[in-house]
Amino acid sequence: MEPTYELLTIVLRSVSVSGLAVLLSSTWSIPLALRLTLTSSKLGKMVEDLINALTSIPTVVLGLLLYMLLSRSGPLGFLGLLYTPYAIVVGQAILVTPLITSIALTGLLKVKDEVWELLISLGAGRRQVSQALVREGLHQILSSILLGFNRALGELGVALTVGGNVRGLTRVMTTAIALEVSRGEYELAVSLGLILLTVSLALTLVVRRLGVR
Amino acid sequence: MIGLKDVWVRYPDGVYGLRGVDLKFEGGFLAVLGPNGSGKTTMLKVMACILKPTRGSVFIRGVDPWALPEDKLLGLRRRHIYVQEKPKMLKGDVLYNVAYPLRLRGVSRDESHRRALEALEELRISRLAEFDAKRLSAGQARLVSIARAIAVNPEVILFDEPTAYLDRDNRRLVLELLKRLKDRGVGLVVASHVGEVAEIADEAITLEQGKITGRSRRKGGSEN
Repeated sequence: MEPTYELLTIVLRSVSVSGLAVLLSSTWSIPLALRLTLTSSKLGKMVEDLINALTSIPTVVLGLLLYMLLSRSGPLGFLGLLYTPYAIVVGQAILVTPLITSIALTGLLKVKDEVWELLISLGAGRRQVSQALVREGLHQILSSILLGFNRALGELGVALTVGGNVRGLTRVMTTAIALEVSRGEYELAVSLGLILLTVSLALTLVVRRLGVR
Repeated sequence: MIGLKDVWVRYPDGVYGLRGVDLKFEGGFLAVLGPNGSGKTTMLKVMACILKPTRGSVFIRGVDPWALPEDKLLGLRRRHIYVQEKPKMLKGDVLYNVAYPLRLRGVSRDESHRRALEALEELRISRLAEFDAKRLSAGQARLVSIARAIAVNPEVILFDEPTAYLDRDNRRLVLELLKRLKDRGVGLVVASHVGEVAEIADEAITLEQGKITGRSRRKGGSEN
């Protein structure tokens, strides 16, 4: 395989796998953040604390847990997901869930502080309040998704443990960099590292532009 | 129309907003006077069913709103509009903001825009219709928030310092609007720390440290 072609496929695979993972995670993370924004119960506060604590979960620990679940002898082994891109998608989706939820929640709580009383005083019902919060907090929500994508794209533990770094199938930027460095082949590693860094910095700039630090 | 019976409000930081307030508002124009921090805003929020009292009862048309299921409480809330002391705007233009409470009530887009424009016209600010609502000056935002309330044509409007941030001409404009609303039969509860509102009110109460310390009907007719 030509090095340029291989580099391109690795980059595209990384972006599509992490993109899919973040989209998947957003389907539950954003509604969860919205739900937590609207609740003031003790249970809600406990869930919020738990989510905040999980934002810093080591990726290799999550990878290990998923490996035990997805391996042939594990409870979910019958799905045959281990060492497929789908395993990385699921793993990264779980990995970024606390991050997306936590950032979206922080943003939505800020928006709620700003407009909740206005919405109630104008006669908004529960569903209308939710819709308005999403509309008013769209930048914060988008920022949380972008930061989640950034985290998924740059993680190594999950992709390596459940993806296996199979050439042409599950090799993504971070696993490829790790492999090339271990082999002493720095050319591809540096190229991939620069691309990863560029994407990461670009996304950070977009997030800052959206108004969330 | 709105009754408060021995209403106490204690905020989470331990500060009391209201201390045993009794009030019966049956329409007309009630001015709520008092210095800053006397509990005027708290009382308006309780009357608007935005804030639940810590103790005591609120009655809207004889019904305790806080004992109702959520949909019925919403129905009661929609009879009133509370206009905040510091007006907040939603993202979008002024027309969207003024039409928004009408849209919440299921009014069609065209009809809500028509009524919103009418309300803006009444306050002589229809030129602001397409302005970004987040970029309004404090005075403009005040007028837009008033237009947003009158567009709905509610039974009662609870104004919190409606003349704040306004220059003399616009203050006069708002006071004239209050008189017109009263003539149209809209119930008005207006909190103010300045006396000019009391001059056009049917009744005035004075709050100090969360307690009603004075009541008067028309000009000078003190009861307490």
